[in-house]
Amino acid sequence: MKVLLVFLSLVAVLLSGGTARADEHETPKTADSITATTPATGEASAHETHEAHEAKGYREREEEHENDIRNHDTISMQKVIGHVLEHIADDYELHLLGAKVPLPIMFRDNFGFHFFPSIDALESSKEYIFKSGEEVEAEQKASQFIRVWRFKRVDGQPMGSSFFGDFSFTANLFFMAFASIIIVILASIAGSRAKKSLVPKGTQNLVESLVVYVRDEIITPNVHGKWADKTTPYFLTVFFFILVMNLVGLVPLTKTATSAIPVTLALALCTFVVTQIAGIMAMGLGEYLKHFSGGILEMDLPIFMKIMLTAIMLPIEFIGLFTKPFALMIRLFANMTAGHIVIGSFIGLAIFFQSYAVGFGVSVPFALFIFILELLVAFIQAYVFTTLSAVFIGMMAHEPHHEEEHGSEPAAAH
Amino acid sequence: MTPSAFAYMAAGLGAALAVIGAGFGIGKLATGALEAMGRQPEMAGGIRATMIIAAALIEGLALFALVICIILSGK
Repeated sequence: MKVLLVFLSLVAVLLSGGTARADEHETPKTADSITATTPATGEASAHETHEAHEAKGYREREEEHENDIRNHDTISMQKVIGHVLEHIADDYELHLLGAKVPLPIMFRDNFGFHFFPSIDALESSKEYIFKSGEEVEAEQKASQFIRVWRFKRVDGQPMGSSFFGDFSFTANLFFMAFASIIIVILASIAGSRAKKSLVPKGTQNLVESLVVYVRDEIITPNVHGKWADKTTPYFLTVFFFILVMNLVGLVPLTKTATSAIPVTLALALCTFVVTQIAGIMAMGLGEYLKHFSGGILEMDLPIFMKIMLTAIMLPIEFIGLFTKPFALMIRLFANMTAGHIVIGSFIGLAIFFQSYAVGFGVSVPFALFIFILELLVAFIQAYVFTTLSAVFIGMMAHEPHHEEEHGSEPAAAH
Repeated sequence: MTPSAFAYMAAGLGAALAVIGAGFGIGKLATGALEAMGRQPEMAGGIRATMIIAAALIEGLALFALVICIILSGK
């Protein structure tokens, strides 16, 4: 009943906001339709504006794009969502309350290595220019989600692959470095304190409680024997790195590095490499290769059956090798991105309806609620990533006499 | 209807189905975990940790489906 009431009041607020907006813009709309009554000239001018749009520099286009969302007449839900997604995406500069801090652009294309200290330097080089948003979008659609260059050569020559070519110091990278610096400072303060006295105090208390939590709740139950101590530094690094990146992303004006696929891909690759190395070191190369049969080779079966079953198990185990880090990558990325899109969409509602009622009645409370949920998610995702890494590594790095458990363990890895 | 209209429709329906499945799965998981915690409160910590891992794995499957939907919606 309560839910229904809340829902109804929500609808009422939305409707009132919507009608207010419609009333407000009755006059401009008619003015629009009057100007558009001459179709021939309208079409010609549209074509002209497109040409002019192409000729504009990056700054002019950006300003136009930003004003577009402030313009009452041209606003649409699609544009609002577009702005939300742009806010989440990686960028070549930091946007801090109006001030724009340029970040260096570095890339290697078919014409050698290039370095520009900022977007403006790249634009004024007369060699490269930034593509318009529509152009990037169209290319991205055509290339099936493979990363495309955000800028192009003035003479229009192809630049080669962007996946390995573009290693600019982007905003995501900046906040990743920022997170690492925070971790280094926290860890060194806590470490130097711990050398003086074992009684935790202040910063040392904060770091030590998390470290002990990770060791006791994540590593010891999943990784057995001497491998627990050997892999502890890796798990602690991953846990703190993801946690601090997630939390830094929740501070206004920053970006969440973990809501970018390349970052989570690199993290998942680290877990993948550590898993395989730990497996080879713990089992030996022969045993490591044997485990691809999924335990069939140890079973008491006729040789013909063994070969047939191994032929079935081999591709399954081989694919399973890659689905685990792939799932880690997608999980972290999707969880961190989803929350930000939801917050952005709630804020976007106020912009779409152009109404204070929606802003204070819906946007602020709901965005705040999701924000608090995001705080929880930041911790849970760091925990889940570390725990699953520990489960995978523990599965591979078992002592030889635990061999009989192997058959039941892959169930935990879906 | 154009092929891309079908792709959008498939993406929407696929996302909905994936979320229904994952929601059902996590719901069952939470039911089981809460019952177990109610019976054996002293095991609550361990059960909670296992529950979060299992929830993450179920969620991973739903996210796989959502990735396919996102790819479809880009067609």
